[in-house]
Amino acid sequence: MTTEATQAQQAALELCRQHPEGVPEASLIGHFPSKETAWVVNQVINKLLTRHQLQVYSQANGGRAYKAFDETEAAKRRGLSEEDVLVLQEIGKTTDKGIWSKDLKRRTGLGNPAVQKALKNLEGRNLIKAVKTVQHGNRKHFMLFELEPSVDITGGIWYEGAEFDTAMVNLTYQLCLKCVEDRQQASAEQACAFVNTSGVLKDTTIQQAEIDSVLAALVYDRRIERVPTVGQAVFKPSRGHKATSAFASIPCGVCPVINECTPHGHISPQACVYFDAWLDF
Amino acid sequence: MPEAADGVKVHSKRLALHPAVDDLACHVVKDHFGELCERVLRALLKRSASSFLELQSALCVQSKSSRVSDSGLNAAPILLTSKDVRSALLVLLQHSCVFARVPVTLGNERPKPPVYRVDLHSILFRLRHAACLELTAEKHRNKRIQKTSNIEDKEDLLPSHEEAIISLLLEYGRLRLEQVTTGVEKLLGEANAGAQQVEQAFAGLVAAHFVEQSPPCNLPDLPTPIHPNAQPRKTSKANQDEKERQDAQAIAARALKTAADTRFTIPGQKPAPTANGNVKAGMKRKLESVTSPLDSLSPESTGLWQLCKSQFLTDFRYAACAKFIGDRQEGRAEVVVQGLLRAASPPWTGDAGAEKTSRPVTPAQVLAAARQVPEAAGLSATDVSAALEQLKSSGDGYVLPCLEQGAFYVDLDRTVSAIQEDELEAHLQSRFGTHGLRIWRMLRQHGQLEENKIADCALMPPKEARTILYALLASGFVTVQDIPKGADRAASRMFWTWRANVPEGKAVLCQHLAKGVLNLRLRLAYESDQLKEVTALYLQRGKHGLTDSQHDALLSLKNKQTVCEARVLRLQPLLSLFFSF
Repeated sequence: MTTEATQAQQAALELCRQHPEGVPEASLIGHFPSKETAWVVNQVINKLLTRHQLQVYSQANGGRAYKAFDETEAAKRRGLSEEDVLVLQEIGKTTDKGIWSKDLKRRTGLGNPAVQKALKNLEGRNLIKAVKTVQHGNRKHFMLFELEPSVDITGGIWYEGAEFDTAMVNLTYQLCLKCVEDRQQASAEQACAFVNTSGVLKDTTIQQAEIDSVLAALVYDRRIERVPTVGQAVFKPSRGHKATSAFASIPCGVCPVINECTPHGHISPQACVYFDAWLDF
Repeated sequence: MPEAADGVKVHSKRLALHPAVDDLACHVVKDHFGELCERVLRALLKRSASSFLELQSALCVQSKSSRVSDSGLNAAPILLTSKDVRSALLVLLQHSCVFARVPVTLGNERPKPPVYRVDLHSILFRLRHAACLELTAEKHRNKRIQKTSNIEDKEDLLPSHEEAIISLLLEYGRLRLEQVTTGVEKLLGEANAGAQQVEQAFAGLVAAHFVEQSPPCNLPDLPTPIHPNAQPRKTSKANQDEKERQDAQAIAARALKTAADTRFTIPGQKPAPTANGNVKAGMKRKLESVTSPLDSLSPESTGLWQLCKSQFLTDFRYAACAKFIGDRQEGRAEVVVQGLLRAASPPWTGDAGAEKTSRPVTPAQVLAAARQVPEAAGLSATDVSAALEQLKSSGDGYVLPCLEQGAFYVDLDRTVSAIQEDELEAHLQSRFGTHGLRIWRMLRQHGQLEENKIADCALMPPKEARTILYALLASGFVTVQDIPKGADRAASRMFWTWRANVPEGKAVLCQHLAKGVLNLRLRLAYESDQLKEVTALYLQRGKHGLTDSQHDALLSLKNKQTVCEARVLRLQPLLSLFFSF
């Protein structure tokens, strides 16, 4: 490579580093002296792209723009194969939602071994990471290493890893109920403050949205009720309409096989074990 | 308000959809009238309507299929004679378990024999006989006849005439007035039951619509209506047939209406006024044109009297509504609603479930009626006004103001629907737990939700939410809809939304309730059957003729009987709630 070409590369790289938000293609070409031909400019940009020192992306107006990678990022990406880059690009598109390997295979059009190899390579270079989704316990989603997975993937505060944290939910449920019962009337904000200042939930700060869902569950359970107000939702303890039925007081009211029960069938009231237990004085 | 032209039965068709209800009805009939009646009832239930000949061929002639099954494990049932079928039919007709109709013939058609239909409504009402007696006793407690001078001693009071009449009609079904009088005299003793007093009490019960004339057996059967989508044929013959059909339908409807209108008229008396206090215009003209109301009815009037189920059911319905509304409000709301419904309850002439709202009444009328309720001691006009205002402003919509004269009325349809939903929720809680109920209420509020959203909002792991949703789906309480993302409807590109299915849920609960009551009765019969020898021994030799273990077994059976019967009594209002209200 000639000295001019090297100098041109350095200049282009320097320009992109000065503008971390990205440099439009026209500005980058305009930066070169007018004597440089378009062919040379393209050569320079291609070289930088191949070395993973630049990345290209599309702008909203349809034009292309360039950004510079820092040294460590460039070092990580050095030596990636075409398949690796393709996989990385697809993963990058999914942002914090991540992508399942099967979807990745479909989108890139690569075979399973190639995708698995690329994923392994990219994981080894700390360019991507695998996260388990709470919706599908066994599925791994891949996303860029530096991103935090979204709430859809992690399940939010109610999940400890991929497991639902029932104890945490119950605790918050009881705290919210206590807050409304103690104050007779409480808003969601007050309930949130009460839960966070109670000191029961260590190292965790619960957001308003989570408290809203707990309060909604309390309303569904008829433990509290919403006071009809304009604006901020206010809750008060329920008047206590506990759902009880006379039907539940006989075995048939809670029988799991009532649909299979017939007067002279295999499951029948005469041979019913639940009746036996119920009438055993 | 809509008035049913015929006392029979808006619910029968719906009830017939549930096999559990059929089974329960058959068991009740077997229990009350024996196996013969049960077999005839089953044969009638198999077809929607049968003539006597059809019944005979079903029960008295051995069919090919039954001959084949004779060699197998299931032996063919013993054939009945025509006399058996006739006697069973008479018993069922006497107790209103079956009613007869004469099919309407068109043009030159030959007259058709009467057909018999099952009245499931009446059969299931038999389960509420104890409640009917209790209601009558409560209404006429102050009229009880004193046997001794000691008024305080309730044991020394004989039942009132009204109680005696109702208990007779409950026991015997249809009776003539003379039979009622004789029966009451036997029950209370000639000294205590004067014929005039009995007739007076009887007239009171008829005026209050607790007793009605039995419909005659020759009432016409309405022709099957033509489906509105059916294409009319454009021929002169078809037009003539259609005209004849319409005429026949009009005549039949008129005959049914006449029978319904006159069922609360005692021969020799003016017909009872309608809800607004006026004698109906058509009826008035009719009365003017004839010398006696009895004459106008003479071809159809049976002279037989029976209980009016609708009025009893209306009273039960009112009581349930008052309790439900009262439970949801503080203060004396229940007493006020009781008063409101009491003041608004003229004798109801239609079917029990046909009354959508109660008649509007003013607070003064409510107060006057509420004061008759024993729990209303010290109730003032201010209390009534305050309670009514509180009920109005609660937003529940059960008690609503009328635009005119500051009157109030109860939205009975809404209230009954709310009671049913309450029961449904209680059932869901007992079967699917708190989480199941939470999901149900969420679906009721939001309409349609996707599985993950349900799990998120209900604060439960997706796996648990899925398990509950599929259990609810299997029982018919929720439905699932698949929404494809593409035209190919590929399962991989589809998502499913869940929705609460309230009508189906209520129907399922109906079925389960009927099955529950039937199972209790069957189990009780089974337990009694197990110890029938010991029971016979006890009846023969008395307590001292039994060994210790036999004595214990009998004691245990007695306990079981008490528990089962108590539970059946508790389930009867629920059955009414879903079947009759």
